Amino acid sequence: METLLQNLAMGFSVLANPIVILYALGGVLCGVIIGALPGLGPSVGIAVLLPLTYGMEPAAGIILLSGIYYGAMYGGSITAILINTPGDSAAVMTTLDGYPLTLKGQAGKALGMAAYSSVIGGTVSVVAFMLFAPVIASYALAFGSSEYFALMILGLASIAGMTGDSPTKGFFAAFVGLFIALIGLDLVTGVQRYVFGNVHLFSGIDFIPVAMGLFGIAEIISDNGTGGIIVDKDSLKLKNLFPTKGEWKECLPHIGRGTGLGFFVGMLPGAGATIASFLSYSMAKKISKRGKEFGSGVLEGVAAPESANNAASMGAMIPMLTLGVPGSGSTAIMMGALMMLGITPGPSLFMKEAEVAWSLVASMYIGNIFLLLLGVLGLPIFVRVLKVKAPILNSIVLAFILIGSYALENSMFTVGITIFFGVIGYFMKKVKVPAAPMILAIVLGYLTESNLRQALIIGDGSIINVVTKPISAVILVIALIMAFGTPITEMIKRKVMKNTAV
Amino acid sequence: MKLTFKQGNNILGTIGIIGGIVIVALAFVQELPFMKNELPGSGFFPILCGIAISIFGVLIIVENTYKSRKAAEESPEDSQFEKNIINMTELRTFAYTIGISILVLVMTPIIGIIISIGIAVTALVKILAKENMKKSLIIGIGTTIVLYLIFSEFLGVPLPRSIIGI
Amino acid sequence: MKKLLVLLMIGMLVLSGCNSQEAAVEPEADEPAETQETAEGWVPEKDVEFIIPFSPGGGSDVFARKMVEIIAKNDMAPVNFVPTNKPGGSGVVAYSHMNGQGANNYIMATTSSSFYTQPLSGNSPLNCYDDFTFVAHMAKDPTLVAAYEGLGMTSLEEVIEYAKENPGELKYGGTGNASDDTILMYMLNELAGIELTYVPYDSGGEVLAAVLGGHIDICAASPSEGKEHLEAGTLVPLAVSADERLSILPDVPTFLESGYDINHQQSRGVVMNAGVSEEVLDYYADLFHRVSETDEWKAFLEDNVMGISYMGVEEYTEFNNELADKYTKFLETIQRAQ
Repeated sequence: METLLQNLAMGFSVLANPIVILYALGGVLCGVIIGALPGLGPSVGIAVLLPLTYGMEPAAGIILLSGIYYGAMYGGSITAILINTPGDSAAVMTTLDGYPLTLKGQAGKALGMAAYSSVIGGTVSVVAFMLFAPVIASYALAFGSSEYFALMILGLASIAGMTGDSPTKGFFAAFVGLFIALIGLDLVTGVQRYVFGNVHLFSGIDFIPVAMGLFGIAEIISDNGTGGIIVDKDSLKLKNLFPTKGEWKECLPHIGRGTGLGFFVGMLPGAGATIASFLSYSMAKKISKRGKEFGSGVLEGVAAPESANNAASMGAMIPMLTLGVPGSGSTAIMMGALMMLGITPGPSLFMKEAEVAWSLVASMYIGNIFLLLLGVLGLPIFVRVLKVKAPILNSIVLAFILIGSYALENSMFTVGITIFFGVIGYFMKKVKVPAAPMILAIVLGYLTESNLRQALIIGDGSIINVVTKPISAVILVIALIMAFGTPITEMIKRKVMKNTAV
Repeated sequence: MKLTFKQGNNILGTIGIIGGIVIVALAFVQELPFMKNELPGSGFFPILCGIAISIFGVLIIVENTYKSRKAAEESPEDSQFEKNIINMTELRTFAYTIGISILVLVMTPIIGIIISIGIAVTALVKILAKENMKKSLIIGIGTTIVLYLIFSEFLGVPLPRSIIGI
Repeated sequence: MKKLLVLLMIGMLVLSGCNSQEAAVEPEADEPAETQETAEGWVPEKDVEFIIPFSPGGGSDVFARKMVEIIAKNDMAPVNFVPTNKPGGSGVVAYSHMNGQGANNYIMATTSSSFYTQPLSGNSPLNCYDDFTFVAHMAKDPTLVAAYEGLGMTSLEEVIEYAKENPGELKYGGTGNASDDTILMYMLNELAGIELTYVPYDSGGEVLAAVLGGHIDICAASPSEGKEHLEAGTLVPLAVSADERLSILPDVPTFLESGYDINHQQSRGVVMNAGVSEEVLDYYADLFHRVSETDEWKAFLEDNVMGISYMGVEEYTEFNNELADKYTKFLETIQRAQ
């Protein structure tokens, strides 16, 4: 414990330099802005601001980059809540209850809770990171293709909880999403699938442009019946941005669970903040007393995924730093950045470059505090955006969406995809097909298939080998319970009631 | 124009059924094998998806028929299934939004993305928000400048340019 | 509303001061290649679009940006080189985009193994021969083949012996399904008379995680990624595919030393479109030659465990043709097996 505190002190001493603190603040600020721009997420932010770090001290450089990283996590939820356009995959779950809250005039509360959950999730994870990093790293390695496959099935099973009124339509959307995920070059054999020679489709259809179209554009087109978003003037007052005691009581347990779940899932190299937020939301929905109301604007529905995705982003740093195995796309870029700055992540990082590693940890604490400040102070500004008349705001948002989707891959094709799914999204809304399952399936679909096929190659073609591995088996059982648990318990309840009545 | 929710659902279901069949058919056209060397081939998941989509298409129609009948029995006047889902103002917004977005797509190679978007925003504000030309132009140009500063200057994204370099 | 816009604009102006990225280049599709006759020969007059066929942060990206950085820092060229990421289709999008510009003197792209594997797998409208001109070859990426420590074997020989008696049992993981990693395994299978089973992954990180966790037995990895683990003992080195032993892994024999004629490395160079004149090519080749002689470049290559391998226009063109033939042969073998 002593050495731990000594190390932490060493880390903080790096931060005593005001310039470094400025970098941390700047990083978080830039991250939040970039994350808020529809479609741009932590990866883009880090990649784009990477050149700024040339010639910087490694410690300062990585502090800047990690500030961007979790700033972007929060930024993504801002647009998710205000205009129903998730800034990145991890924010998709936040739209489910965040946007309805905005429609109810409670945008301030939603944004506030998102900020607090994110910060709590992040800070607790940093502590866990500090204490357990090396130990946990080896746990993360126990997950191979079979285990990831099971995890993906668990994720897909959680779709059952997002289907709204009509489960049939929910699953329909999910299977369409699953199919979309398969378009592209096959991982195992390299053949073109449903691509018909179009080079832009070789890498498949990325879910971000789809989400921007399905959520963002579709939202712009449809008339929500309110002719605009009502902003309750009261909700902007500072004191109303803090959740009430009652709300804290409701949300804290969810935040706690979300953090734990997020941290562990984020640690797994193949999973990340997205899956963590999905699972956290489903878990919250099942456990909460107001579970049935999820989707109509329930504060816990924001708290759970937000704490999970920030915890996951911390968790994802663990395999990256201790094993040199990136936990997600954005940590992969961070790792590239670190290597460019001359630092090689790996088992001996904490020994060889202790100063850098520990200043990173220290910066995470500071970063979270900045996030909190930004969240609280920035809220009135963010919410003021809503005061703009809806059609005008929509036009501006559309412009951001179009350019944003270009910026993803510097290609107009992505813009085309966004527009195409905007049209699809509109029709889906008309017949009440939920969009969330489709997005979820696109994200998970590719991973589900590739992990299953890898697992089968490793298991010599036998599915038994895949499902009987201890970790996989446990996860699959949980998935079954999640998917079929409620209907089965309902059935049993009814039978029991019938018997007792007679 | 009228299209009831019930009819919409049936159309959805039919699209599903046809779509699923097309997916499976295309899998065969592209020669994606269902199984290969005793392992799932590249056609395995797509074919399963196609079948599932068709099945759910059927289920949607079934659910639709059942639920709408039930709603008609309970409250024949107020059934949401008989509500018209076509909303003319919405359709107008849809047409203009998508139409102008497609125009941006088409015009960008010629006049660059910045100018296209500037025109698009101005047009949309004028048509959909029904503001006067002056205000529309201000918003259009303002948004364009902000976008340019953020994406091109701040983020350094290479935006498609026109012949004159903007 | 106006106030908000003004505020935003001021804010953006402030922020734009944070970043001094250069304005992007306008590729001209219809203008013919410009030539400027001076006493020294051709010199570029416009910014050069330096295309990176992959997303930021990856190997190609870091590589290209380092070159650009060295050129800028040492004022080696009168114009800017603008790194432009054009990911998609494992490089096909980028090369198609460049190809669409015709004989343009201001657009070039980096190459890596996908430059060969995609066209030869039938996934590209371009070939890897005469659709391009070859400016300069810069470096070679060696590959490390290592084993899971729990496997209990410490040398290539042991592994091969085991594999001979248990065909198909040992699992070998690499990135992609027709990549250098795959080719390496097929070469080993052919030369050693064994049968390793290939497991494809999407990234080096995934392969590493799989082998560290014991889910696969053997992996193909980049030496820089694997080095930490070799030192820690969590990964057992078998051999490297390189010209000679790597300075950071002095104890690991090359395949050549171990008796197998395998020296397949990822080739990194710079190409331009067909039709660019020799004068222009020579200018750039010379520029990159100077880059490759700088200390910074050498340090960079060493840090990233890449072998320096500069080749000028003619040498590179010939090397390319040989390499492309080699890829052709092995991709056919792989396609038959899959």
